[in-house]
Amino acid sequence: MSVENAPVVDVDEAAIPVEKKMYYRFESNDKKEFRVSELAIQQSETLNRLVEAMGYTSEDVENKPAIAIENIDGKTLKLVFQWCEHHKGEAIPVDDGSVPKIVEIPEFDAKLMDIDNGLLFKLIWAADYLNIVQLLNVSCKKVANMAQGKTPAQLRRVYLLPSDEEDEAAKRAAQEAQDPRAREVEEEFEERKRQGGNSFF
Amino acid sequence: MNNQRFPLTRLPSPCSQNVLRIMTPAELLKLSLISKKAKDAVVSRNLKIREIEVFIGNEIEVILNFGHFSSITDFKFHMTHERGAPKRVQKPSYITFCEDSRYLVSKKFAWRNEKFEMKDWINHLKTIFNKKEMSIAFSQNAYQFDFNSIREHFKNPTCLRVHHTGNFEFNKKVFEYFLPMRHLSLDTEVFENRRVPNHILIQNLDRFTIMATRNEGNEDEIMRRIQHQVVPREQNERRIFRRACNGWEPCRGEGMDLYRFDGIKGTICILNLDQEVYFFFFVWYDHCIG
Repeated sequence: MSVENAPVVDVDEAAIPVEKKMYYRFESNDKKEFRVSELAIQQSETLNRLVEAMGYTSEDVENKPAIAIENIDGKTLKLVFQWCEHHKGEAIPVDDGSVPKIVEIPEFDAKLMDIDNGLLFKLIWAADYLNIVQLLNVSCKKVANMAQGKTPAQLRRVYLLPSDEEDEAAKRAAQEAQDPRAREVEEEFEERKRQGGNSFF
Repeated sequence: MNNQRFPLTRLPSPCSQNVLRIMTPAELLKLSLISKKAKDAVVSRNLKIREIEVFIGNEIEVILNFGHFSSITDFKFHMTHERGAPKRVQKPSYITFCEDSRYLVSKKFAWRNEKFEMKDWINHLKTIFNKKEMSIAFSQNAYQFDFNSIREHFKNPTCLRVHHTGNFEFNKKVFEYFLPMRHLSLDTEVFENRRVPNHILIQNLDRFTIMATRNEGNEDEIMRRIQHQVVPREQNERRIFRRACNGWEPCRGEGMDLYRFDGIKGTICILNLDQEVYFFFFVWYDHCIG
């Protein structure tokens, strides 16, 4: 049928179904429940794939149990979803592997991350687990900023980095725990070297 | 968790690597000084520096040029010298640096590192910023340093920049010891008669810059006794020079063609840019004609 011959029908605009906003329910490991919009979920590659695979309808969301996120607690998940809701619809940055990586922390994110370092640690862990690229970037940037204005010695204390001696001691302890004879062998080897032998065999 | 502390190594490995990728070069340098393991982590981040330049003047500075990101990080190495004697390059008593960046406010830091001699610093910087080469620049008052101790600490630079140090004998020693060099840049004031000696001019160089003050002669005077043919700008700018390694470049401005004794043609283009005069020399070997 040509376009000219197509029947003309009056359309009742109210009858056109308006696409309802889809929300999903998630539950943290301490049984706190969150309702998160479909668009916000798209910031998380992990959750986005999960809900796509589940193929839930609006009814399913209400009738079925909330999707459990077993290794993230409620306090952390609240921050994650607040971030996702605020940044919903934004393009997800593609990591081109460039070094150095330029990241700026927007005002909202700075306020959201005005938290203690324990919670910041959990937030980074969660951003990595849920694969939320930009949240991971800004939270890592906050950690990188802790180095500003510090001397190397101060930096070691801030990041809890072991010294060479501590690394060496940890390595020895690990070796001994694995093989109690390792230390004896090492000592025997050192003794032979002192006696002038350059080969253990 | 104490809010002054953050357990960086307890983060999942991609996250701690991400933190390192976001850190500025100055922060990475500080991190690399903590332990061997931390240094290895910084090296594996694979940040490539554009240039490391040791600048010798009143003091010794190391200028780190990262090009794209944090433009220049300038380290000053403070040493205690005996009065009256030539300054020897020695273990710095403390270091200050100022980081300039397009993204950050300029910051000043100072710290002590009692382990490193000057040469250890250079090797450390080369290692963590993945650069084998370094440049060396001599400037005003560099002659106050003992030349032998400079030789000992700054071996095998690939680029040399020389301004008048305040002592012509010292300037001469610099050329005697450091030449031949792939990249050479010099100020005519380095020589008593302001003439660059032939033995410096006649050598194979990848890049050669002569800095001269404007009143030392204009273009007409420079070319006065050299037989050449002027090529008008429109015609000259149609000529393309094919570089040995990096693509090609067009001739710029008016050209002056001249011929070597073996018949090879050369072109000199003189350009006035930002109150400075630049001379471009093109030698038209067959493989250079674009």
